[in-house]
Amino acid sequence: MRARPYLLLLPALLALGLFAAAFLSFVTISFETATPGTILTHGPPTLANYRSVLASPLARSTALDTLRLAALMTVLTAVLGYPLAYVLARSTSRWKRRLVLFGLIVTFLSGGVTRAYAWLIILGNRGLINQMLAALGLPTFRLVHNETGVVIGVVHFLLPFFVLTLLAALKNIPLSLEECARNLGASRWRVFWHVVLPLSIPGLVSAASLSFAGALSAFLFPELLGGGRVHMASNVIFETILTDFNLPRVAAMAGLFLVLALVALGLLGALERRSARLWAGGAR
Amino acid sequence: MNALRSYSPQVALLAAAVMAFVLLPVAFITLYAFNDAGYLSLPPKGLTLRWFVNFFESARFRAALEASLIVAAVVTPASLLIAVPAALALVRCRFVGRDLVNSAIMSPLVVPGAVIGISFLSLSTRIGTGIGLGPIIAALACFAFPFAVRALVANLHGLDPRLEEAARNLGAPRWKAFAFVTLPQLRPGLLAGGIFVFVEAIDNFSIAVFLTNSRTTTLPVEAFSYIRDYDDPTVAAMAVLLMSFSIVLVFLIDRLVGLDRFLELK
Amino acid sequence: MGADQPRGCKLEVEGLAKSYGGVAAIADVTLAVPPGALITLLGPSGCGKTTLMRSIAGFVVPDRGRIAVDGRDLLALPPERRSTAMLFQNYSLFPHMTVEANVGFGLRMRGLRRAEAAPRIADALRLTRIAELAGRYPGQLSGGQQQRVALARALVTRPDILLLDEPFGALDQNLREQVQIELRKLQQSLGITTLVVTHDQLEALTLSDLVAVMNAGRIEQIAPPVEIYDRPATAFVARFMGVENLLPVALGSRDGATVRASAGKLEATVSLPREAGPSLLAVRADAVQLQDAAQSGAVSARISFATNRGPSALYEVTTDDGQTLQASEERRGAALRAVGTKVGVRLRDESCCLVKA
Repeated sequence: MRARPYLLLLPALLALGLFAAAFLSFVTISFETATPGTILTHGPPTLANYRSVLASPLARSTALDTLRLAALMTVLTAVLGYPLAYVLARSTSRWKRRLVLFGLIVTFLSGGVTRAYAWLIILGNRGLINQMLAALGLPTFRLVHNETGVVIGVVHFLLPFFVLTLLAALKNIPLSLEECARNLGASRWRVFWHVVLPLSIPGLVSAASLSFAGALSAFLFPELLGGGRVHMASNVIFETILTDFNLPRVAAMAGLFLVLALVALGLLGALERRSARLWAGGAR
Repeated sequence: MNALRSYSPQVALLAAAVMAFVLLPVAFITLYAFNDAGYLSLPPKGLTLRWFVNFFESARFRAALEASLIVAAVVTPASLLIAVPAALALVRCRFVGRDLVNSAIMSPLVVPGAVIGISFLSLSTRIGTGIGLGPIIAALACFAFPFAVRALVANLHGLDPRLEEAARNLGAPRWKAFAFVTLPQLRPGLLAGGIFVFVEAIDNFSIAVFLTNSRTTTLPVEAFSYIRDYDDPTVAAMAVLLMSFSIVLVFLIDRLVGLDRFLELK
Repeated sequence: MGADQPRGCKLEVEGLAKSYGGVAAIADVTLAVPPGALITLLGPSGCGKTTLMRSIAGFVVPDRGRIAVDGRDLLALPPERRSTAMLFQNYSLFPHMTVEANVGFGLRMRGLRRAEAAPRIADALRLTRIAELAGRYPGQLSGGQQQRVALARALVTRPDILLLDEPFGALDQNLREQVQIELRKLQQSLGITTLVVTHDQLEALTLSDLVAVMNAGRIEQIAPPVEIYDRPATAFVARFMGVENLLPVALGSRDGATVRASAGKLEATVSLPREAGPSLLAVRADAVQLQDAAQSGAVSARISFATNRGPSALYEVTTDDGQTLQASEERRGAALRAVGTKVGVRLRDESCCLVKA
């Protein structure tokens, strides 16, 4: 009887064990040295990989760019996603709600490559937007192979996650609280500012940290839409392994990236728990 | 003119604009895939199925499609088989270290894909198996099964454990009570979890790209290199195929569990 | 609220109608509430009472009709500009604000400064006797305390009309009666025109100056509580007020304002019906008098069911001409009459009335 939960968990624990083994081998490899001309590595343990990564200007600027871009993408996603989630949560029209949900879920399930490719064609130098601008006699813009394209692509990728997560939180705010605030003399805007926004903060933080995690590990979009000019951590790791096959060095980069991501997400998680606790005292 | 509405017309308009932004690529890529020109032409030149034919005639794409389907066909049931007992243990049993196990199971979700890719590349290098379908399947199963656990845990939380007690009181042995009472009620969680895992298995790029080589590649990785090498709408045709598939999935979800219920299990 | 307490306002509703997808939630409702009165909208769920209240608060936009406070039309105003403070069913306290901030919310939205608002908040808290809870959050309060906070929050803005939506529904029975009386006293002392929505007939009778019984989007009867109880106008009102027997009658000879009504062999002299048209005789169980055997003037019947109700006994009796009716009788320590016993039945005239079928 006592062994039952552990027995049920056995398959999951085995999968986790495999994951841990992969993790362990990557960590140990990051302390080894590449055998030139092969993918193989050898000891003895050394900190040389970490030292060289930390000393590299590219690695440092990549870390900063990754954090900066992820923050920008998260903020843009939140600004665009909040109104959509709110309208979706409060819409009285059943078919409109279903249509939007349908669109969001189809987009959400239709995959990264599809969407990155679509943006490449839409934003390209002779793409949809620039052709339309040119047809109207307006100046054209460079929208891909730079940060603009990457930000647009990633924000679009994150929006369904963000909206669907925030939607769940917004639906938990009783409509009667909004009505009550209106009844007490608050305009729509003040109802939002004083009631809806504060009550949605735990949900907002959790949707934003989900988006931030997605933005931090963005890979395909910077790779396809960045044209080699936008350096986010995953791309630099990928390009390094393609060019010099030095697994220990790449492992060290990945290790440092993981630490960076976990610290950032840990801070957001702490914020999330704090905001949730703050409201939990008041929840009925 | 309805005082009931919580949001103003301006906010509704803004939301509609955001929705248009969300739908733009899906709509656009569909037009592009049927456009009878090898480049973007406005207005479209005429309809063609050329790019779809191209997709299926390409040996590279066919091989990649096959590889992706094999990966999904193994990863999806494997993940559910791992996830169902784990979710049961997490929801229905009290045991020492439950919170710890729960966070451990969810931990792959916070690790960036590229890091997972590097990890499994390191592991296969270390044990000398080399890269290919096996490591891809192992990596994706480890990465994706927590999605299924999450959906099933949410589903199980909404179920009344007394129903199983009632079944046992009526004479059903433990396994029958599970099979005839609990399992049928887990359908939404199984469907939602299965779909997340399946989509991840078909669409994953960031892990798979580290584990593929010129002989074995998956669909997203192949599409990625095709986009780099060629400039024609074949990938758009592939995208339309994948999207049609996801539209079918959404209809299926709606029919079987309802969109709202599905979202609760996300 | 001291010297500048709000003088009651007159509330008028005229020809109000609202339908959802072709189904009328309220159909042609007209009522007038005198200044300072408390009116109860009473009816089963779905009768339109909540839609009517929400129309007054501004959350429902009616299809037709007019709502006016002291002659000023309300319908053109958005909810936040109507002076109609509402106490929501589950109180709807803002969980992220203290009691004080909750109560002060309406004043803040009206642009009052802290210094102006503070004494009014303190007054409202004192009036509802929750001054000591000012710094707490709603999650830390009991149901009764939450109700007081919601009431203070509604009163502090000195509304023209106070709207109470099932105000006691979430309280347990003992507390409910105590709070009802307290609320009635407070309402009378403030002289604030108040509209209460409830489905509880006893609550309506306890609280109100006027009771409006609603059914299927219409007002069936609007009258002081005693009249509603003693002389229901329609069969629906009679049933809702707990009248056990509604008997088909034939009307006989008129004598001034009264008429002889006979239901089979049973007869009663009752006031003339208010409106022409088919009538039923409403007879409460305690208006059915039972005698040991058929004496003169009594109809002979048989006890077909008997049950004990504490101080009284409830019987089902079947008359010789086949009518079944419920009768109750004070036991005064006696045992129940046995099923099958022959009895004589007569109706007490003064407790019977004619209602519209």
